[in-house]
Amino acid sequence: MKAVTHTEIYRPYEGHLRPRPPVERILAWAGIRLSFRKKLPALLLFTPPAIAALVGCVTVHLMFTMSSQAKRLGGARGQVFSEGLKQLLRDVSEAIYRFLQVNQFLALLVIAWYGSALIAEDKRLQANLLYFARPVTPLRYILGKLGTAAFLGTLTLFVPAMLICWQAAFSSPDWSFLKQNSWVIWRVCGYSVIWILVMSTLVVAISSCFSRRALTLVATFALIFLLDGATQVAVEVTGNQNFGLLSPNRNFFEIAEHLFHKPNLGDILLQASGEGMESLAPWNIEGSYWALGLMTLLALSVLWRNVRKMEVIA
Amino acid sequence: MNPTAIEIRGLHKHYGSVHALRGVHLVLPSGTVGLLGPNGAGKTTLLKLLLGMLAPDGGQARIADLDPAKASERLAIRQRVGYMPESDCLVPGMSAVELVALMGRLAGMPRTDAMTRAHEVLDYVGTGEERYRKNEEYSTGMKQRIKLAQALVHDPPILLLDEPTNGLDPKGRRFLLDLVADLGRNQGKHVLLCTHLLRDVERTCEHVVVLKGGQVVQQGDLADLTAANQAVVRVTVTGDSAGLVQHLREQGSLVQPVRDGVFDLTMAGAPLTGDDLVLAAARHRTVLTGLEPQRTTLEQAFLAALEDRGVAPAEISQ
Repeated sequence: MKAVTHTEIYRPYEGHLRPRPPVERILAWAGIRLSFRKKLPALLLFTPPAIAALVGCVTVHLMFTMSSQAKRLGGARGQVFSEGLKQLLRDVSEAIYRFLQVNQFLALLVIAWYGSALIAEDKRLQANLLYFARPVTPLRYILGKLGTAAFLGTLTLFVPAMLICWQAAFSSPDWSFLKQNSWVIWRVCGYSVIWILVMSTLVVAISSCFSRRALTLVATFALIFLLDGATQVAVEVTGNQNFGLLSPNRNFFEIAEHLFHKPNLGDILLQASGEGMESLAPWNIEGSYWALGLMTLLALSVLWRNVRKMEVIA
Repeated sequence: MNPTAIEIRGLHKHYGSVHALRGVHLVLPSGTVGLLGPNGAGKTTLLKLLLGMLAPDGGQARIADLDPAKASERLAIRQRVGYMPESDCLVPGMSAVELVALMGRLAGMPRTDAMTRAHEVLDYVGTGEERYRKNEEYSTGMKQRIKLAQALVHDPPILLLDEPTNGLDPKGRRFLLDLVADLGRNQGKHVLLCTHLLRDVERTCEHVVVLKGGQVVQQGDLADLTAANQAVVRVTVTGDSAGLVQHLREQGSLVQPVRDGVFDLTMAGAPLTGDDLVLAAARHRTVLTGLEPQRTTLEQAFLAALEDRGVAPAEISQ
């Protein structure tokens, strides 16, 4: 005799449905959980940023430890090292800046890999029919998908950078990193937010244009790297540096240089070539912000159009 | 009088040059309604219009007394309607229970309720321990059950089911149709079952709407559409029936032999009474042993409607 552990009867739901459920949060969280389901891609994609963060933390810690030991020596040698603290803090800031530059490539791999599937797979499977048969608006659907991509970007770019900053704060003598270099933390935050927002929007927008993940991946890397190469060629051929504004990577480079108190490429060119070369100088830094802003707006408008079509076919 | 669940007035929809819906008028009562039609008749288009997933080019639809064309009312409709799409739309990587719970949460259920409810509806649709497997690993039959479960998870009063028995084996098909029948008859759901399989409708529905080329060509209670047709009777005689058959044909009636001693008689003009037939049989030295009015099958009604030979569309009684 077969044991019956439940009666397969229909039970009405006696609770209440929320009139406006937090669908963007639910969708984002579902996307994040789904991303970590496949262990191999997660291992391959998240291990390098984790190692980079670890190396960065150890490096910063060693830099400060050496400084502290020198300070403890006292006397003339200690004095020399104490005076060199400012230089050390600059070096730590530079290390964090270098880490961001390297790690943003790893973060791009993560966002591109996971972000490429976010909408393309829904389109391929017509899962949008399930989502939009619920009280999900296109805006909240987009926010949910962007939330997933942004979270993964945060995990690979922002969190490791902040870990290094944290390590620097704890390892620095008398909290000198926090007291004298707190601007680094704010700029890491600012740069990460800009980078994550722009890249997540670009990748998710590209994902909304295709119904195959592989195509989205190809299109993403084509947009980022071929555009980079094409603008480089255009700059070389025409001699007009303003073509560089079309490259997201170039704009991010300029912004990072600016944020971390580095002379931008225009200054370098001016220094190298003298006043007569002013026409080769690139744009003001505002130009990079504008360029990235316009790219993001364009991506958002493409995203909105495509998702609206997924919800209501006019 | 049944309350009206869905009301459609003069609905038009174009896809480029294709006129998918041509002024559809429907007033659908509660209970289980079968939306029949050949491929390309506009069934799925109609369902999507009801959910606000398509914008109509003309006319108006009301579902649960709300207008799906209005963005402000669309979300309220989607909380009150459960939709089972035809396409294979289950998100890969998730298990059935996760997907159904996610759909419950998106519909507005709290997290714990959604998970409890997901298990309940998965029990109801008969997915055992398989509910923990990934969606991409399920058979077609299991996918259909999971799709029904996600439509039911937030306990909506109206269910729109698009080809729910597609790709199912006979056993799976019977099981799913039993669930649909139970939902309509015992659970008080308004079910709109969209299919091109007549037997599915015969088994589950109380009302039928036939769409052809984007137009309603037939609608009514299933019992009315398949009512006994007094013009056709099945006659059973003993003895040589050739003389009787000849006599009836001479009178203008259509006689279609079924087997030896049995034939279907379609009477022309004034119908013959039983007494007339008994007398005619006696005159031709046969004995009339059976006389049975024939019911129109749904297939006959459907084909008649598609060939524009059907009864004029009658509004379903409310």
